[in-house]
Amino acid sequence: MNMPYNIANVRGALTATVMTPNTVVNLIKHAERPILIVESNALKAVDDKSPIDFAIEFAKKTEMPVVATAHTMKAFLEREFEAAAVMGVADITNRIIDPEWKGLDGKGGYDVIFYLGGLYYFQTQILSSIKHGATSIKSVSLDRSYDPNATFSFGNLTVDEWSAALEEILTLLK
Amino acid sequence: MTEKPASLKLKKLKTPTLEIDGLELAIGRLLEEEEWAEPVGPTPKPGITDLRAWDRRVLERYKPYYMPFLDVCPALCTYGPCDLSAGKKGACGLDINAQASRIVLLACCMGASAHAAHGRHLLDHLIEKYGSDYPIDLGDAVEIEAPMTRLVVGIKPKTLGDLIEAQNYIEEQITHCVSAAHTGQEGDNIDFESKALHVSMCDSLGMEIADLAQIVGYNLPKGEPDAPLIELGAGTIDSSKAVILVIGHNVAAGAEIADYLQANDLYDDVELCGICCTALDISRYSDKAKVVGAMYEQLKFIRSGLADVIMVDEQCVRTDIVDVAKEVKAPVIATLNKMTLGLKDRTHDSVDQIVSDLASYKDEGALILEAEASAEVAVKLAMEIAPKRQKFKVIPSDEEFVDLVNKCVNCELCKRACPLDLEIPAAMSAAKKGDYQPLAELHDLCIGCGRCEGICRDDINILSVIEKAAEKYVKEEKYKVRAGRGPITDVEIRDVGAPIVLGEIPGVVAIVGCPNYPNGASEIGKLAEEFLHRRFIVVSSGCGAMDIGKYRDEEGLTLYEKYPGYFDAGGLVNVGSCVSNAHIDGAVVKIANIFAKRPLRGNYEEIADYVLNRVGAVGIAWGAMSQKAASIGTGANRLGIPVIVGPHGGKYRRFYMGRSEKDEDWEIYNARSGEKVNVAPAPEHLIYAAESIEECIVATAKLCLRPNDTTKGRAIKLTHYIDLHQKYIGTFPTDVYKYVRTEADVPITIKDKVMAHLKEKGWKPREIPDPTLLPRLVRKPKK
Repeated sequence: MNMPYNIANVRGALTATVMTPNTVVNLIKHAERPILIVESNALKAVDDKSPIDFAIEFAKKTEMPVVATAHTMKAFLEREFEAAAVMGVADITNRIIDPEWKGLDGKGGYDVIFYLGGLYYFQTQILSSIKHGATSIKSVSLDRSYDPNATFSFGNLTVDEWSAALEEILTLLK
Repeated sequence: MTEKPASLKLKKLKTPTLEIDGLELAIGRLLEEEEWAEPVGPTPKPGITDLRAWDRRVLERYKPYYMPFLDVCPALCTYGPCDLSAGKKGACGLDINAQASRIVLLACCMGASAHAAHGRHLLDHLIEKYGSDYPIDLGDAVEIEAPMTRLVVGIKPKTLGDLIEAQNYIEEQITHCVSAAHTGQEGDNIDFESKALHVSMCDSLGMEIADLAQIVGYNLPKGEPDAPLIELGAGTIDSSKAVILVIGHNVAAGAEIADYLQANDLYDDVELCGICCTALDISRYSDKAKVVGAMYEQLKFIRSGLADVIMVDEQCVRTDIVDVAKEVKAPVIATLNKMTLGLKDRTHDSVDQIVSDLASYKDEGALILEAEASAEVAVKLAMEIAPKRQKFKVIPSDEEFVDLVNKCVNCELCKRACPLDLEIPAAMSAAKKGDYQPLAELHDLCIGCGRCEGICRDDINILSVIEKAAEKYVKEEKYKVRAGRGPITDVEIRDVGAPIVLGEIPGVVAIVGCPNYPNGASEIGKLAEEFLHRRFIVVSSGCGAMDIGKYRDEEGLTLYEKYPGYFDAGGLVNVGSCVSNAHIDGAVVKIANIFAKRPLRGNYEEIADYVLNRVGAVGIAWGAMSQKAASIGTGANRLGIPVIVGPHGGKYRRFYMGRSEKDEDWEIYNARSGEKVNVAPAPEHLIYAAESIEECIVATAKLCLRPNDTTKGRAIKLTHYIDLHQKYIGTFPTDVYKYVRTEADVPITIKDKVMAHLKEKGWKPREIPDPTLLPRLVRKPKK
């Protein structure tokens, strides 16, 4: 079992499967209605690289709608990218776990949810709401810390390992 | 009617059929008719199911959103642990949602009981001191002395003794609510939530009793907007004096210290200061007392060595305080039965003997359950021990600091253990290269928990290293906080009731609670200033009130120096400590009563309906940490006040969230016609976590919207919402059309933009109703 990033974040019976960039690509391949949720930690540059740039490229390659939470929208606008919606992370996730919800475009709910740039301690709670509130939905943490509450998560990666993993995802998506 | 104790004594009675000699009968309590013309409403002293229908109605709109902490029930019974994941039920039958709501209920019960026990202690102590007939008199400006007590209990207390009835009611309700969490009792998550709302309503009542008792008993400010400005910050503490540090929430022992210093003319020799709400309350009692700061200062300040004696009372005190104090050779005096810390009970020993034993370090502390004696010990001990301690500190020397920094191997365990995920390893790396600034900057962000030190494999006292790097900044921490003023006066409510309800004062923003901030204390200063300069009313309390005081504007003024303490547009109102939060609930209740003439007495449901639909008040607990914060927030929710918590608030496991796109959820009665009509989704949520302060600011403006806003008021509120959205998120909000009822709602300064948006959304005008969720309040029922 992988050690949670926050060592005390031990949750119990169900823990996330540690994923590789290949897993991410396979998940996208099999997803019917995936969505990317980008949170405020993505505004912090990591070794001069912005997770927002990754998010935009990832979204463009997968044609996935992007929800910008908190105040992340400004960073997308600076890059002339229009997110599908601006919503709080709890607000969008509350809808995602509702099987009756028709989605941002009115065409239906989402089955694979990618999260990027979460505050670890808040993100893990949000992921818990999916884990327990919508067992058929897969949640994927693209952050560099292992989160047991996701369905799939990276292990605890160094900054370099994480950058390489995100790059590899983009390469595999070509 | 109020209850009064009654007894009958007959020395001698002789009748043809009966002979009595020395009869004494105690009848308990008798109901007494009193001079209060207001008829008793439908729910005086509501039991745990009396407001259940109301709760269920509200929670149909604001459905609980659960974020369980564990996949299992952690086995409070011997059936468990039970796996509750993937739809499984435990051996007792509870599913994961019921279990999550059960934990929420228990947290709210803990919070309510902490305040209630605090109130009980103060009440008993003050009644013993002054008698049960001691009058409750808040002066000419405050006629409604106890709005929550009138509303919930249905009595109008005139004396300290009258408060006992309300206190007994609270204790009974807490018992029922705790019992509902026992195995094999409540099983439905919404009913658990209803009980959480109920006990949290009792919490609000308990806070009112506690603060009312201390306001009259200790003669604290009685709603005074110009209460004195108090020195705030570690840098204000005079290290040339003996220093007594009080920590916690209960003012009883701290007030005795102030009295002793005053009576013996010792303020020139002894500094009295505090951390957490006790600090705020001693500064309400004596303006010579100083406030070090919020609860996160405990480890930081104690390790600085300035405190010679540490006196603790209750709530939010570090439970390892004796060990922490021992490191700096400062004795600890515990003063209340809830927190005895394994210390020897010296309550009945002589003051001189205790002082001698503690000054010679024979004992590391003492339990003294008598406020006056504990105060005398604290003062005498501080004066005796200060010359011996010489402000002994455990902040490293320059050489030790370099050695500690060089020990770091950048394993990142400290970062992973940090509740805030602070960049400690990067700061350590910079320090190794001689750049101490990143470490110093962590001082303002760090919540002082010390978890980083516990996990460090190289035994680096990381928090002390940070404090060393920030030493010169700590010395400059000199600010002002306005002493807690207590209640909002009836006079103020008369002035602002109409503009608040009509929406012309765009909102009341209450910044309350603990300091578990995601990004340092300065964010709530920024938040307060944003709304103050927009002429909202900003109210503060507790640790939040202190941290607002640590924010300076561009000219170097603290916000309490810059903004007046009136409950009016652009006013910054520090009501006081945690228990003073009751005055915020009390103010909205008074608006319903004084401005709208809604009856209070035992009339909870109608008042909550009024507040939810008409009073644009929002609570912000940006650093909510404790179970008390859970009950304070949930109590506000039951009264119809939405609350925003910071991202740590996800750990409370549950939000109450609306769904703006579900029209059926926003159906209300138009009290004028009885018709069911749709209104805008306002307030959109009851309790919700924002991820960043920017999101919080925008959400605050939006949550001030109410169905009852006048067109002028709605236009003002929309102006702020749209402007803040554009400022902090960068876009025009896409949901403005939902909040425009007629063209008169459109903000004039951005009319073109809004009209274009309305056209794009296919907007149509709609009626502005007289909103209520209660069919019984419809004046003209639909035929």
